[in-house]
Amino acid sequence: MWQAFVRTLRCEGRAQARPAALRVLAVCLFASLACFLLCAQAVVHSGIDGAQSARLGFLDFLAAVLAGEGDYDPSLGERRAVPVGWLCVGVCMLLVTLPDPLHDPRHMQPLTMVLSGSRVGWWLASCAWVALCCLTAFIGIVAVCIAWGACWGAAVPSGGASAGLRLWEKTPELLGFDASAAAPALSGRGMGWRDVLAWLSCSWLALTSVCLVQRALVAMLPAPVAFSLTLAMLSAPLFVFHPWLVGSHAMLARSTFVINNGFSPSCALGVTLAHVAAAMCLGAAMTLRRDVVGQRR
Amino acid sequence: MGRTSICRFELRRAFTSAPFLLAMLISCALAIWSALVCSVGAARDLESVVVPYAGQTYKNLSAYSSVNQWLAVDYGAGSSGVFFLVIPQVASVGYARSMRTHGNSGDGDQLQVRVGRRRLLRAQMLATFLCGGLLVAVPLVVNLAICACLLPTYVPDVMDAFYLRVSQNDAFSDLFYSNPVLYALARTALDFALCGLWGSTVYGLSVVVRNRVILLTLPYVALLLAKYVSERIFAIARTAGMEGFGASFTLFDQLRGSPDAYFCPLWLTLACALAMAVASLLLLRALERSDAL
Repeated sequence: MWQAFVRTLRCEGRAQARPAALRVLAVCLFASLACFLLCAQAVVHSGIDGAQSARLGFLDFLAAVLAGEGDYDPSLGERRAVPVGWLCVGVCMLLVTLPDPLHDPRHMQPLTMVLSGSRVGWWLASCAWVALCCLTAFIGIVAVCIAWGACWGAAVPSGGASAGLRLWEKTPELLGFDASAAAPALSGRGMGWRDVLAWLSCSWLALTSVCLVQRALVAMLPAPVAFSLTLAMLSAPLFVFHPWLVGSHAMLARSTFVINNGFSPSCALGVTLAHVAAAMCLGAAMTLRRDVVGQRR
Repeated sequence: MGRTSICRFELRRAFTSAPFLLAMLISCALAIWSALVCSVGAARDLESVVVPYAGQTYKNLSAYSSVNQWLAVDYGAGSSGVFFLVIPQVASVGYARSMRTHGNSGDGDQLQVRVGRRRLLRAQMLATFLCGGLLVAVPLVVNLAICACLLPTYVPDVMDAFYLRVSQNDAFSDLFYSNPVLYALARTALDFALCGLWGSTVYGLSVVVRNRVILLTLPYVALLLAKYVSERIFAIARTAGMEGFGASFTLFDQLRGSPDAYFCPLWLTLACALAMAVASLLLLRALERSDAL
């Protein structure tokens, strides 16, 4: 099984690298657009000498892309701008990993599945490929945010790992999410690099788990239908504040670093790993039952 | 095979296809979820808060009306938000892929030879329009029926506009406060037309997009991007002091009686519908003229 896993992953990498790279590039372009719009808003907000007074940093640009929605109470029923920017990132991630490997026009993947000798190995390689694509896209987003921070002239906090990264106090208002003034990302102590890394890992895992659910659904349903279902799953946390909704853990504005009643990285880890396990088991079961010969007829 | 029979053939094929039935299942499930969440919550409030004190003080009964909990009007529940974010994608899943699916399989070539390319494409576009429209209209009707079974129907009082989300800037708001049944009919008809036209436009894009998955997902991403960019620009304009600037021109808000942050006047909705109609007709013409071989 291990050999099948490695060989299939290598094969998938060779076949899918180019289209996946193009899609990852599209994600990075979107992240860049979000950062540009935040800069424009900050400049307008700060008036004529905006470049000096708007203190935007890496965390602000990360929030421009991945903030999402803060503490949301639907019973109030207030008009608000749904954070479609965050949804755009999620949808782009879904598109990066959408294609059904068994429906490629050259019929290479069914052949790979049969020749690999292990369906479970093939499925695990397919999941690993989804996780790799998500990781690459995520690294791209982080790189874009760092680049925008550097271009804006954000100072790197001194003090090594203990130094804190902070959100500019106007950023939540500009991006339209609620934040607690005493939360680490806004208070004096800031978010340490370890906090940032922990949140980034949870966010990546959360988006990867949604993509894995989609990959498992694609094994049962037509790809656009699977995409629609996963889209509903992804957009639910925009309207419902609940830790079981895995998308919540990919929102910076819903983390414990930004709001007092936010979700901690340990909670995020538990929920996302449960989703990953469920998606992988479901997908493995469907792959084992899949009739490769029958679907060619 | 005549014009009527090819239309009947395409309609039968559209309404019995697995993607259409699955899409209908998704949209109806969201609508039923919304109806149950909203109606049960409102019924509980009505029982515990409003009825016991009805004789002692003024209570805004119309806020608990079944019409106000209707999917197209309700704003508070998350279920309605999810429904209207997902429905443009679901509407295009219905039958917008027909040209690429049947064309790629060779089935379309056979039909083109027998009935003519123009007739076939028009029948497919008609089927796509009806599928798209039904995928939003049926869940709306189902949702209203469930709400009406669980809650009383009061004519909304304009004095309760604070609790209701339909404001004077929204489409058919005068009908909502005078005749809610007519409002529901008008709203459903408008949503039917908008989703039908969206499906037809996606179908028309088959002339330039060959990949079925990209055909069904990329227009949705473009719509999402249009909403995001426009809202950020409106936010920048408002930050610059242009109070009240901006209106929603994406399908996500036009389908709702009470859109989110930005208002959505009827003239803008009709202008967008007209633009989609023109685009789908132009794309259909381009499809008819494209080289089948």
